[in-house]
Amino acid sequence: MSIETYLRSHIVSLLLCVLSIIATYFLVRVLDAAGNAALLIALMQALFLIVAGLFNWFSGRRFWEGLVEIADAPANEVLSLASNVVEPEFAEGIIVKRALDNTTHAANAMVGSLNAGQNDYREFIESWVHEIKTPLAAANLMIENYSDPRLRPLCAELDRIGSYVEQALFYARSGSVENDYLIRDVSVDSMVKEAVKSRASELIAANISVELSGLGQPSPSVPCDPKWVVFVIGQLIDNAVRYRYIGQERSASISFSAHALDLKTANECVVLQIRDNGCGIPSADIGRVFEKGFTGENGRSRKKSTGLGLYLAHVLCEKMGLSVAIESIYGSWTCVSITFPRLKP
Amino acid sequence: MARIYVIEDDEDVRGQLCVLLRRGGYEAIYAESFEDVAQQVFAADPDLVLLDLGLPGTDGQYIIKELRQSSDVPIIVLTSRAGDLDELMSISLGADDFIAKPKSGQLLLAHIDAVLRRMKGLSAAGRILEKDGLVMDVARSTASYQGSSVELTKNESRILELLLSRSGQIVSREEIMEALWNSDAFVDDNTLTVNMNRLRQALTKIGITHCVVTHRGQGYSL
Repeated sequence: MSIETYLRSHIVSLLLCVLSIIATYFLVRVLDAAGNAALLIALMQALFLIVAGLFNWFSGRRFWEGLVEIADAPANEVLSLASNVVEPEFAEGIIVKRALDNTTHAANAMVGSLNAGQNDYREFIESWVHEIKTPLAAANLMIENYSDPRLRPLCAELDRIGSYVEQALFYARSGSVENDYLIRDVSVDSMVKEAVKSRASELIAANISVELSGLGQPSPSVPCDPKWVVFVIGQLIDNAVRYRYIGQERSASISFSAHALDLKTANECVVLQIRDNGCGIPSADIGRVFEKGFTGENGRSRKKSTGLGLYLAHVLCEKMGLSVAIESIYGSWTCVSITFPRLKP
Repeated sequence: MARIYVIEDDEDVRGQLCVLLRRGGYEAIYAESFEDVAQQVFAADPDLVLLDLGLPGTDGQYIIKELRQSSDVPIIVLTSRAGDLDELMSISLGADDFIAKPKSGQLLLAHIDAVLRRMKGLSAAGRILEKDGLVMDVARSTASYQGSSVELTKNESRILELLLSRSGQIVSREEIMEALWNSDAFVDDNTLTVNMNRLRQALTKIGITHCVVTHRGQGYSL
């Protein structure tokens, strides 16, 4: 702490010291000593008091400055700063340090146990997802092999279960550290096709036509984790299906296109656009669509939505260094753009 | 007829896979115990192995390694893990293809076709489906009847294969469209009608009329 702060906080002691020096001077004068002697004694006293004061200020300085840093640090740095405080040599400082150490220790223990709990839960979800795919596969095969065509809608229900399972998996992964994905070069159209095929029965049942010619021939390649990108595109298709056009004027459609922009510059990127001619998003809602759990006006009038699809899309894209943006005209169309920087992040 | 060896511990999935394979024109055999699977495979001498990575007690990757030590048999891995790592590892250990479960049975058959064709050539991949004299060679995409044969386009071939493998049953338009989408032909309702007509015309060329039946509101059957 600065010398002014120190003096200001010890103002009472400071005044008393000054008073004591003045008092000493007058006391010595009163006891009949010479003026010079009194002055000398008073000066010597002053000297010792100043040195004592400076010593006090100086010796604790580093310790208090360390504490000031902790006091002003942002939340994510506090705990690590607190573990690195200079060991003080004066009694009050030692007490403060002990209290600080105890607090830090308790906080670290709590964070550690919460992290471990969360990891446990995530591992549980991963193994649950793994296990559930077996009965889902068996059921799917049974329907394909044996069933009466009237039971075919069962397949659609199983697909819905599969979708929720997939959402659960990626939700569990979205909250954790960035070690869960592998980046490699993948062609945009292979990912789009995989996502479209995964939603084939919903798209076909809803009579939505799919337009892929805008993806380019050959389609551009981008660095990313294809599993995550396919999942994101799947979520966007789900939305397009849920909020599709229903009526007589036109037929529902989803079109995909990919363009490279700013070629040969540092900002070179590929933009994938997914556009549907559905009911669109009201302008009051469009700023909030990426919020967790947001369902908006559309969410209430169409089939029930978890509100997680766009949230997860946004979170996962951010983790991969991609940006996602949405535009819409209510009643006409919605277009989601995913931007892939061309160079590896 | 190609022989497929199925290594899958879940009885239900295994049973359904065998039904699917047999209906699709393959011979299907499977492992009942999982100790020493590699030996069982060598003894059976199959044309292709379908391996589930999530087996109890053993590591699927280990089985791939063991098989590859003495055999070049094509291996397709079934995986329910959603990570790239397992798939890349399997491929680097020697598997030839992977497919996630649950996936459509038709898609699995298509993968098997592709791998067999790639690894063993057209003749070994030969799957024959037939009904009432109509014979289809799936790998060569040809249909024959009483001595004459016609070559089918990719779409016509997929449709005929589907109808033949479900012969006697009604197959809905949606199912046919899904089968086409699975082979990257993203047709819409109108295009499907066009494709069905083309198939009928192709069959007429070899003397078959009225074998593809339209069931209004439900689909088609053979």
